[in-house]
Amino acid sequence: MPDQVRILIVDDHVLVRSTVADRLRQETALQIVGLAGTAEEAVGLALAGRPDIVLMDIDLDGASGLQAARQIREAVPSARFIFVSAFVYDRYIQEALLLHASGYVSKREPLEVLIAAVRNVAAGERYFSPQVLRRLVIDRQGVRIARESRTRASTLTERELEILSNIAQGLAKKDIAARLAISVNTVERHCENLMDKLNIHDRVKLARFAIREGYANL
Amino acid sequence: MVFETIPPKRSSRSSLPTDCPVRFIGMVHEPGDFAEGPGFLCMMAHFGRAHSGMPAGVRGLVTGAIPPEPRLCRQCREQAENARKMRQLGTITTGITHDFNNLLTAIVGQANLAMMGLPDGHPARTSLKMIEKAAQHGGELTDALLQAAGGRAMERAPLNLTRLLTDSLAMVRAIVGERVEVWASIESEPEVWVVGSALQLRRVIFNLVDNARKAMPTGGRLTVGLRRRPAGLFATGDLDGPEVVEMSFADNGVGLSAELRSALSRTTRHDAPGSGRNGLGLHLVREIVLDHGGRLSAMSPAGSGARFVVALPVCSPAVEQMAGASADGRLGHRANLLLVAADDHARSIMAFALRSSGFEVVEVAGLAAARRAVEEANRPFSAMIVDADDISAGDDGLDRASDSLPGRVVTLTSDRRAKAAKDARVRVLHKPVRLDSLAITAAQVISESPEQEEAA
Repeated sequence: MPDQVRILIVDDHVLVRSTVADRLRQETALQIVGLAGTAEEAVGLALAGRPDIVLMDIDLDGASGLQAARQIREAVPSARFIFVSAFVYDRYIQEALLLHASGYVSKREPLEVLIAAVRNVAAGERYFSPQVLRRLVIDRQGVRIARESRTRASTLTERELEILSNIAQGLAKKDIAARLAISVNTVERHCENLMDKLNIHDRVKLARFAIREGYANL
Repeated sequence: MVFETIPPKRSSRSSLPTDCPVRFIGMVHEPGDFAEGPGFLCMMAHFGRAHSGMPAGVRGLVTGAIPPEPRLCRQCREQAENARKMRQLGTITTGITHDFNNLLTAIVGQANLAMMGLPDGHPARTSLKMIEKAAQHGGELTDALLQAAGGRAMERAPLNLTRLLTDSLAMVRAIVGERVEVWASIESEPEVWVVGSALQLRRVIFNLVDNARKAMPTGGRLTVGLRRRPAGLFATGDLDGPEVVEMSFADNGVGLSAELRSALSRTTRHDAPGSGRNGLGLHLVREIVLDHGGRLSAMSPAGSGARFVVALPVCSPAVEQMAGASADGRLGHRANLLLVAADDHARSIMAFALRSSGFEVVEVAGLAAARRAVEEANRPFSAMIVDADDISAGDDGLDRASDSLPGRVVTLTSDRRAKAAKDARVRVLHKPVRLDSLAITAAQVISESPEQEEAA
């Protein structure tokens, strides 16, 4: 890391990002290179400012912080990400790990914890909130989410995720079929596939899973 | 129609009424109880004959939006409409609390910033501290709201079940009222620890107590019990661990019908006609208990009340105390660990987990670097943690690791056959290994070392 660690702050709430920025400006050796409210702004500012650390809110309007991080990572491979979210969904954590996140901070944490996380990451270390850390295991592939059934969600296709989201919204198969302009039989086939993949063979449990993991509002 | 049913058993189809074939009975009391999240409506299907009586043949669930009006009678329609409003409330609650959390972040942050600019002893510091404290309390409230609305997964943590049940007794007495006498038979020593959600387990307690109250409309006696038992005995089934705890609720009310007893073990819904017991509450209890890796069973000698038993796996107090110490960063006592793993990302996260528990950690990527680190260290390492998958698979890899390094070694391996029989210094953990348990294992290994025993 250079002497001045360059930081990009991304949060859709202007009050939050300006507060975090004000606090980080109190820290020596940190330089704010941009404040972004959307994924698009974040990517643009990252290309211009080439940050060392990106404080990335996941729940943005429009494209998510995870999508923005993917693009930034391609353009600025040296950038390290600290993901911030009010929600500690396994899906978020898993995607953050795939992006080699340096940190994941729950918005339940006090601001000082976020500042400590930035300091840690600037020093080449990591920071994960305790409720995130509790869900992690190390296995043959590296660090992963603890519960197997949740990681199985990563095997779902885009279409199956779409179906899962509709199930979680309480739609019947024929309504899902109408909404997606496919036949009921096709919906049923996708349903069977995704139930097999998730090893959840109860529609109610499936909906619970989808809502808990944030698939309901894809 | 925007709903589906899990169809009734063939034998019960003949009893389907023609006027209201799918009858709304009720939504779970809170959106988070049944469908963990906003926007999901859950209804119970009713295939009974009489509208006012308890359902004779409840067989399934209805999920989704409210059925169109012609299919439902007025009472069902009103209930369904109320449930829909609850659903909307859940969605709104989640959205508002999310935004409110962000405002609180700004309030706390700005209060912090203001304090940083003030000298010690400045009178405004007290006010700012109070603002900070109030905002933090607000954050706790939004957490509770998010959980109730299902917007946040329930936290699981080690909890003292003995204390939870004992502390709940006052509320138990309030629920059953003056007509019901409450006896407590709680083994207080040693206290029992389980991993779970205090909020959810309180729901189990209060639902079972309310269930007993309904079974004793003219009064009676409720005995609340807690005791440890070896796993594998009646009611405990195949629960994990060598020991289970049984939390029991015995009443001398109207008892359980044979139908309810069998329903309890095989279906998702179990109302006892005429008994006054609330099947919905029992369903919720069963769901929560299963989510905690436990079992719910019920016994009811004919005409002499009922006894519900919640069996949960017990975790040892020692481990839980260590977990508590780990969370406080006291576990490591600044003992120094050598962490050997080739994968940079995984190693750095493991190192963070260990440092969070109070260990000092030196990270290296391979055995050669580990040997150098051992030679160059200012003080001997208390223990070493080695990802054996990075070295080679099987016992040979473990032996190489332990031969290379002095002192206690914790090895992580994917090889299910791997064992550390050749060397007592080596502790083998088979992957997947929980990161929060890594520090506990390291502390155990250090505490078992001869140096520590001598010091003790």
